[in-house]
Amino acid sequence: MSASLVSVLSLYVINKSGGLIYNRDFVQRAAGRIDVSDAMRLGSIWFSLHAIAAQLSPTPNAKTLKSLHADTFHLHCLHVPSGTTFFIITNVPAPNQAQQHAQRAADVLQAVYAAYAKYVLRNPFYETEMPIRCELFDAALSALLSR
Amino acid sequence: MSARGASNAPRGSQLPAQEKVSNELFTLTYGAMVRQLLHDFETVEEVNAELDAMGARIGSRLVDDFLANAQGVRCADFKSAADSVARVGFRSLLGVTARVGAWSETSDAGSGPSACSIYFEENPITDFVELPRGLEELSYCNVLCGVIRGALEQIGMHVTVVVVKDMLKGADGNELRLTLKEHAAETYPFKDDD
Repeated sequence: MSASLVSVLSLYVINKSGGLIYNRDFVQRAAGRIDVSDAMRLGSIWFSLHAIAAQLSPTPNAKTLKSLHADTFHLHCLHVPSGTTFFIITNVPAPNQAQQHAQRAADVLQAVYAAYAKYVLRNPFYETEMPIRCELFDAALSALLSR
Repeated sequence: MSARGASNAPRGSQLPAQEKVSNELFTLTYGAMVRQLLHDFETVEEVNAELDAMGARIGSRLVDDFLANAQGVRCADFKSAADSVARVGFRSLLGVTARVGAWSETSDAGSGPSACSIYFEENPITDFVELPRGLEELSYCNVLCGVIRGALEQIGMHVTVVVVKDMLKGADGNELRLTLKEHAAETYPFKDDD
């Protein structure tokens, strides 16, 4: 399995009330660096959009937005049953690799979720729903996402 | 799927090695804690309530651990959630085999049963425990009730969990009774918002 299929540019974690609790860039951005307030705005807008989009569905209990595709990046999102939302900004795959790319991005998000459960929630001094400042989580993400 | 998840596990130099502690350490620690609570509180009822509250705090964190690692677990409705707790949760987190049964009759069409029991015989946290006289009211394993309650609360199911049968009190098996009070799936967007 090609590890370079998905290159994660940024990760955002949103708590169940729409507040940004973690964000991190994994590559130096060439332009338009997002500052803290932009990141918080992005987090809450995506959270609201994600929640409201569920109501566009004609069927009840539908899954909602999974990804957003732009010309220069893809956004992949994982919303877990306990209410936390994770999303990553990734590269754009080659046209013939779109499906593997989406699957691989979903795996990455699942691994990020596992790291969150393991290194954030297991930390007895982490207050749930509050911004994440856990060195072990940072280290786990570095091992997982940086190259 | 889960095997691939495991291979994604980070192996940074700072990360702690995953070592398993002996379950006796856990059993004895839990015993010491219950003993301390009995010392700190006036009545056994307060101790039971405190064990339940502790469990709920554990459960509210543990639920993500459970969902992140046990992929393919279904918890969309009460029936599948209770089933997952018993079959997967008890096995992976406590190392015991549990069964679900005694489903309540479906109250109205489509809503599914709203109560069930979880049965298990083995219970590592009671390995060395003999309840003395005077503590017949103590629900030694109330922390388990709290864990289940706290975990299900995080996914929008408000349940009450009580110990119905307790092997420490001479029953032939342990039985926890789960009753669903309310199932509110998503909280956002709030309908009563202005």
